[in-house]
Amino acid sequence: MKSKTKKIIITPSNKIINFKFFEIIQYIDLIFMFIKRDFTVFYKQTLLGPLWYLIQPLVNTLVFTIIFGKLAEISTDGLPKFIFYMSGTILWSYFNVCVSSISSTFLSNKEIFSKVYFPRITVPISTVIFSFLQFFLQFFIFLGFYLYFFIKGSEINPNLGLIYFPLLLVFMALISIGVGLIISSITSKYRDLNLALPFLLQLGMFASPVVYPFSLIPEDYKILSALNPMTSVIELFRGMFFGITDINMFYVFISLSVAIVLFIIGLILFFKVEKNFMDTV
Amino acid sequence: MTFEAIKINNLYKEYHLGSVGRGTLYRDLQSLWARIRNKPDPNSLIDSQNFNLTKKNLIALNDINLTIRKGEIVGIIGENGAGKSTLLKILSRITGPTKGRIEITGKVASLLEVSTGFHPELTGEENVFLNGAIYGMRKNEIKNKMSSILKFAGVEKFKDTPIKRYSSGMTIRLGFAVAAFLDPDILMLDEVLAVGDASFNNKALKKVDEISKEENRTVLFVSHNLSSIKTLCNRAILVEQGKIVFDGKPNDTVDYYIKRSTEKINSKINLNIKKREDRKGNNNLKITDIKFYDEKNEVINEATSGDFIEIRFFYEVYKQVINQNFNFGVSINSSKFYKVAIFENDEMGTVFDKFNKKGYFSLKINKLNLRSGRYFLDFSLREGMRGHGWKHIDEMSNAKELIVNVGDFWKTGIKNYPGEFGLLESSMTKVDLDN
Repeated sequence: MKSKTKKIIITPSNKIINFKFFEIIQYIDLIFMFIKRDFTVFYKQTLLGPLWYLIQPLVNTLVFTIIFGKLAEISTDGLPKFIFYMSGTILWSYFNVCVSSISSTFLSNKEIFSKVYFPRITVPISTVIFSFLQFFLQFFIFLGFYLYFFIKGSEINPNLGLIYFPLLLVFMALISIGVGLIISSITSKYRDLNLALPFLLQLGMFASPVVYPFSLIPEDYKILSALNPMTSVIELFRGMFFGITDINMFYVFISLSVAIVLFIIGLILFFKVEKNFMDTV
Repeated sequence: MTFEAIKINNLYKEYHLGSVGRGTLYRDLQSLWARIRNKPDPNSLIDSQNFNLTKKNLIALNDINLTIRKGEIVGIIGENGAGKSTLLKILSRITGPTKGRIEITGKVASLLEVSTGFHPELTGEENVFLNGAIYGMRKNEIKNKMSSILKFAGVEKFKDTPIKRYSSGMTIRLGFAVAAFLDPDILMLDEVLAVGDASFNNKALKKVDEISKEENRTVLFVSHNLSSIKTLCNRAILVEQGKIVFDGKPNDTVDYYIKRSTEKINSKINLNIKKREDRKGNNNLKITDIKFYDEKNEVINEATSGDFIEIRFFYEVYKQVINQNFNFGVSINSSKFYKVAIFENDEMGTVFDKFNKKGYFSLKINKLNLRSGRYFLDFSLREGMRGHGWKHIDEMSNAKELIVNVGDFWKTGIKNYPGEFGLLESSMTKVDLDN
């Protein structure tokens, strides 16, 4: 039970990334408690509970189908409009939710952070996992429509790339954590960014191929678009499930590099803020 | 066998004050632009040529060296801002040190505040799991202790009720119970015991006493309550301006503290209150002077036991106070710093809202029930919810000295005996019974 030899050494931390893996394993129960708390709270506070997770992408998809598909008549690479928009919506929704909740890590937890020690990184970790719960709910709805369109005989060609689907999710999580951690660190200092965040995320959605396909982007601007790593996530997803995409390995490589850089910067900033945050609030 | 539970070597903690990148993005960019052009920073408080540079950094802890052996119960005392809480915060790893090294042997639990991390929507039981996990307990550990925790807090019946339906007392009790069953080797407490109702307070104190008496348990206890330091601890440390200035038996440390504080108070008690800097809060409203009056509305310098006294706290408003549950509190302390009386406007049924630019709060005591001696007045002006996000407006300890002279409280023609104690309106008789 009690280990007599457990020793804690406290010194000024000079590590750039102070990621204590073993300590986080010790706090694994805490991560699950956070996830459970978020889920229960969400479930209890809303009228429709987890149904919201399903209504929101459906309504979004419907609106996109009408506005961008029917009215603006933007190409969907020959795919059924509904399933095309839905694929972009659920992926972007994961990114959106993940980034907005991670970004408030410091500000919404300053009460606990100022009273109890535990590895702060457990909070964003639990957010990432919690957001996946939501994503999978939406993904199952997507699968339903997907099968419907598949059986109906639409131009949908699932291909072998699907075996990489789990890796794609890791890619997506990496981007979300990176961006989320960066914003959480900046908002701990500049609180006004929190107000601008929903607006920025909305702009980000239009900068990603959610309501249009990558093929629509002029050749000269494709690199620019690939600098936004979510572009690759969404296009690879469409490539795997529909067999239609205009993206190639070169652009994916750019996106992946950006994602890794964002992730590392996110971690560095997070641990830097973590060290001094309590002295500045 | 004794060995070291906590070993602190050359510990420093510095806080940056002033313009160090606080505020808005715009200002930071402005500073950056100035630096690029080699111009002086327009946002800096003092330029580096200025000898006032030390003002930029606040040294909260200055070369602390301390060894605490296993099984010791150590009380930490000192004035507000002396560094006690900073020390505890570093020991409990909430913030990091600037320099130095600390070695802690054993499982640590620090109760800087109970019921942190409780979520109102979750049930009592769920909150115990969450809170326990925050304190680093494993799920099975919490499961095993669940029934004892709920029982100690007296909320077994409500374990499936969301915390938002709990009374504040119940919430605090549950929070304390989780903490009390952490079963650590080293326990750090920061005046948590001042919460909750009186009967639970006793229970909590007893529990702390029990926990600390268990073999080999080390306890660190930060408190303003000198008497509880004396009864609970077997060693006490006095912290002053980030340094340990006394370390010894609780009685000796407390005596030394009282002596030091009295000296300090003597040096500032006659200063102009308006100009005194040893105050807390946003100072939107400031107490500028305190005066005593008798029933003829004439200023008096000293009071008399049993006589009428009016204490006027003159204020000036600098920025309109929002008046959300405005609270004005006054306490009278003995020269040994025990509180002998506390007055609060809200419990007296007086509501203060809307302030003119200048005015005074008046506290009238019809029959001053204090024996003769030297007392000190503290005041505090706050707004907001009691205990939850108080906003301090102006607060000062030992703001004014109140000398009480021997009087005739019972109107018997006999002078009251001296001593800094309260007097209660009462009578004494003897009843003889036939047998």
